[in-house]
Amino acid sequence: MGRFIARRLVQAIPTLFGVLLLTFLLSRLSPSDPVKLMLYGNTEVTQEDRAQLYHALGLDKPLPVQFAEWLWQLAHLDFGNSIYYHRPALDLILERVPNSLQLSLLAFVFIVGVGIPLGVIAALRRGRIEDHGIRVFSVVGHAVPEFWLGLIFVLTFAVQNRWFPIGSMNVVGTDCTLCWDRAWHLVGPVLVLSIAGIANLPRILRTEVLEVISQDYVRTARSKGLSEQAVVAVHVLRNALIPVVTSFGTILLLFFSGQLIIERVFNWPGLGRLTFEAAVSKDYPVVQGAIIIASTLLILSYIIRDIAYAWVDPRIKVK
Amino acid sequence: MLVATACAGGEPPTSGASPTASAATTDKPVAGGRVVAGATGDPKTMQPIISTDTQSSFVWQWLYLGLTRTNYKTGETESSLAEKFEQSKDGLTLTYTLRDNLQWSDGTPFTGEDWRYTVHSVARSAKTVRKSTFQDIVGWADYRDGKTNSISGITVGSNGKTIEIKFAKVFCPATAAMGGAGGGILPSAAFKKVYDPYTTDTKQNIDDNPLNMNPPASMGPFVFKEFKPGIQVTLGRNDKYFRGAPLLDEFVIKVYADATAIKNALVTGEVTYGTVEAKDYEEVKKVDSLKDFRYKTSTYNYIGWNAKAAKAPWLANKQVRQALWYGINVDAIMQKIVFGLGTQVYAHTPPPSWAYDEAGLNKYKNDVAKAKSLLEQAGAKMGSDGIYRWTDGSTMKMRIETNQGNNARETILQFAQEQYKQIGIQIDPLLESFNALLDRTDPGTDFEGFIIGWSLGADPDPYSIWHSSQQGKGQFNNIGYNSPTVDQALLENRNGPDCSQTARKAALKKVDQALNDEAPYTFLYSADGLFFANKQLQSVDPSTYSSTWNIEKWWFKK
Repeated sequence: MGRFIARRLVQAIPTLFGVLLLTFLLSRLSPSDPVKLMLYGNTEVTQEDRAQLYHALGLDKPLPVQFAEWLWQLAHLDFGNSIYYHRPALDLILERVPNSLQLSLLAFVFIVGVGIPLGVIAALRRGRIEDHGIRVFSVVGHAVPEFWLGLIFVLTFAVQNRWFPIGSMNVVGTDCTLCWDRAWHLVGPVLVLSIAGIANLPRILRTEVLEVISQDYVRTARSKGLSEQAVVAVHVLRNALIPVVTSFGTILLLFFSGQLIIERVFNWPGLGRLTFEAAVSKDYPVVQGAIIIASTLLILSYIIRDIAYAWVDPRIKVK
Repeated sequence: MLVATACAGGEPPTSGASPTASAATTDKPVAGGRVVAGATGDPKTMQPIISTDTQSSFVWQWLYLGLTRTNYKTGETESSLAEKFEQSKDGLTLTYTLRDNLQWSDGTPFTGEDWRYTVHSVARSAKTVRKSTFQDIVGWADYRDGKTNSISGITVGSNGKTIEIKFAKVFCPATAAMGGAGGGILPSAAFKKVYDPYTTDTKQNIDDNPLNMNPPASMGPFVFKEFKPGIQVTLGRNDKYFRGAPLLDEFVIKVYADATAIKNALVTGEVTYGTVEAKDYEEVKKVDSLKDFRYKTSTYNYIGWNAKAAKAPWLANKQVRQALWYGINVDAIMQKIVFGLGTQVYAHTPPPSWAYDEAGLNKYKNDVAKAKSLLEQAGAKMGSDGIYRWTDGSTMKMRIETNQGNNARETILQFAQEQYKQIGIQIDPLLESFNALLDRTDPGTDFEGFIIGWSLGADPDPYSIWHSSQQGKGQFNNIGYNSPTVDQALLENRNGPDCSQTARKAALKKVDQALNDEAPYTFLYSADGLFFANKQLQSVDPSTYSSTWNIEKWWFKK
C-alpha cells in the first residue's frame, strides 16, 4: 500500500505541473491586466507612475521569467503577494478555506445522507410511485443550474418571505460558528450546493442496487433467514457502493466549481468567492494559488478514492 | 456601487443592534445605534496612498481626512481640518492654516507634519497612483529621486499650524488636490515607527507595512475596530472628532457580492442606506421602511468614436460624427434605461458642476433626415441596400462594442444598432468582457465605436481626457481627439495664470463648445443618484458630492 501511494504521488507531479502551466498562461494571455484595471478611470496617473507600478508588481518582465520566478517561489511555498491586497496570497486563501470547508462538508454529508437512501428506495420500490418521483427529482435536480436555483432561493425565501437571510455567515453583531444564527445562514447555500449531488446519487445507486439484488449471494442471504434490512445493509449496499465512491471524486470537483458561483450568490466569504473576484480583477497570485490548492486537493481525493476502493471491496487489490 | 445600511432601526432581520438611548422623545436626537453600509468587496488596503479602489476608500475615508473637503452640494472646496487656505496672487504659493486643538483619536495632536509626512510618503511609494498631484511642488523631483531627504517647497510653521507650499508652476486645482494629500492624511507619529521618509534612500517606502490594514488612529468620525475578511469592517465612534462625536455607536461596512445583493439587503433592512440603480427604483420605493432621495450626479454615458479608425475612416469627419448624434434618440434611450431619472448631456462638463453652462450648445434633437443630409454633405452616397457608401467606395459598416453584463450599455448598443440602420449606417455590435473592452479601446488600437461612461471628480479638470498629449498606452484620450483650441483652453483651466472660478468656467466653456460642435463622443445622459435610507435614520441629507457629509449628526428615531 505504501508503494502504491508513493507511486500515485509521483504520478501526480506532471499533472500538477500541467495545471501550473495552464493556470499561468490562461491568466496572463486573457485580455487586459491588473494595472489597466486598477488604473481605469484614474485620469491623473502619469505614464511614469504606470510604468513604476508594472515594475513594482513584476509585470514588466518577460512571461517565461515571470513563470520561472513563480515556480521558484512555489518551491519555497511562497505563493507571492496579492496584487490588490498587498498581502501574501496564501494568507488570503487560507483565511477563506475554513469557510468553504463548512459548506463542502455539510453539503457532502447532506448528499450522502439523503442521496443514498433515495437510491435504495428507488431500487427497492422499482416501478412504483416512489421510484418515479425520485427519478423525476434526479433528472430535474441534475438539469437545473445551481446559480439559478440559488437566485430563486434568495429571491423567494430571503427577499420576499424573509425566512432566511440573503447571505453571509452571521447577522451583523453576531459572531459564532456553532449557533442557530450560523445554521440559519447555512441552509440556503448547503441546500443548493447539494441538490445536484443528491439528484445524481440515486441514479447511480438505483442501477447498482438492482443489479446486486439479483445476485445469487443475496438470494442466499435471504434464504438464510436474514431480515430484509440486514440483507440490504450488509449484502446489497456495500457491493452497490463502489461506483458511488467513484463519483465522490467528481463531487469534490463539482464543489469547487459550484462554490465559485454559490458563494457569490449567497455572499459566503469562502475560497470560491475569493477566486471568482481574483479572476475578474486578474489578481494573478491569488487565482494561481487558489487553483493550485484546489487541484492538489482534487488529485489527493482521487488517490484517497482509489484507496477507498480496497476498503469497500476487498476483491480489488491495490497493485 | 456602495450602499450603506444601518441596522439600528429595528427593521428585521437586522444585526439586532438598536438605538441604545432610552429617550422617549421622538424628535430630539438620541445617541446610539449602528449603521450598516454595503460594499461590493473587501477593502484592499486601509491606507490611502496605495489605495486604488472604491471599496478601500469607502473605509479609509472615515479615518483619514484632508485639509479641505468638497461641498456636498456645490462641489466647491471648503475648509475641513484647515480653517482657511489662500493662494498667492501669482498662484505659486498656497498656505493652509489648521484649526486649533485638533487631535487624533489616540490623543496625539494633529499638525502640519502629518500632512508633510503623507506627501513625502507618496513621493517614495512604488505603488501609488497619486504622484502627479504633487509634481509641480518645488523640489518634488529631487526628493522623489533621492537627491534630497525632504521636499524643499514644503514648509510647516507656527508649531505645526501652517503649511506653505511653493509651486514651480501654477496648478489651478491645487487647493483641493493638495488639501487631501492625495487621499487622506496619515498619523505620522504612528507611521514613522514603521517607515521614515526623511532619507535619500529611495528603496524604502510605505507600501507594505502592517499599519496599512490596521489603522492606528483616526481624524474622522469613526475609528477602526475590526476587519473580518469577506464579511465586514467594523468602525466605532471617534469621541475626539473635531466636528463633534457622532451620535451613532458603530458604522459597519458589510461586504456583498454585487450591487443586486446590496439592493436586496436594503430591501430586507440588513443595510441602512445606499444607492440603487434606476431599474430597481420603483421596487425599492415600495418598501415602507425606506425613504428616498434623488440628486444629479457627476457621471455620463457616451458613445466614443475613434477618429483614427482604419476600418471606418469616416469617423474622422465632423459631419459624420454629427450625423451619428442626430441619428440616435437619446431621449428614448433615457426613458428605456433610467426611466427618465436623468439629464441629457451635450458636452463634457456634467450638469451639477459649478462650471456647467449649456447655453449655446447644440441639443442634437433626433432628426433622421438631417443625419442623412449631413452624411451626404460629407460625401457619402446611398447604396442599393439602404446603407451609405463612403467616399472611397466602402460600405459604411462599423463595430460598436461595450462590456457584457452592463444592462444600460447593452441597451444603448441595441438602440444604436436599430437607429443607425435608419440613417444608412450598419452597426456590427460586439459584447465582450470589461477586460477585453479595455484592451480593445486602448489608444493606438484599431477600434471604431464603443459605449462606456465617465464618473468625474468634483474639480472640473478634463485635461487627461481631451488634451492631445494624452494618447499614450493606457491614457484616456483614446479616440485620438486633437484640437489646438481645446488644448489651449484645457491648459488655461489647469495652469491659469488666472485660476479664478470665472476664468476657469470661461475656459471650460470653450472646451464644451468645441466638443459639442465636433462631436468626438455622442454624449448621452447623466443618470440621477437614487438614494434610500431607513426611515428611522434622521438628519440624512445626501447630494451629488457626498451622501454622508454630516454623518456625525445621524441618529435613529425610536
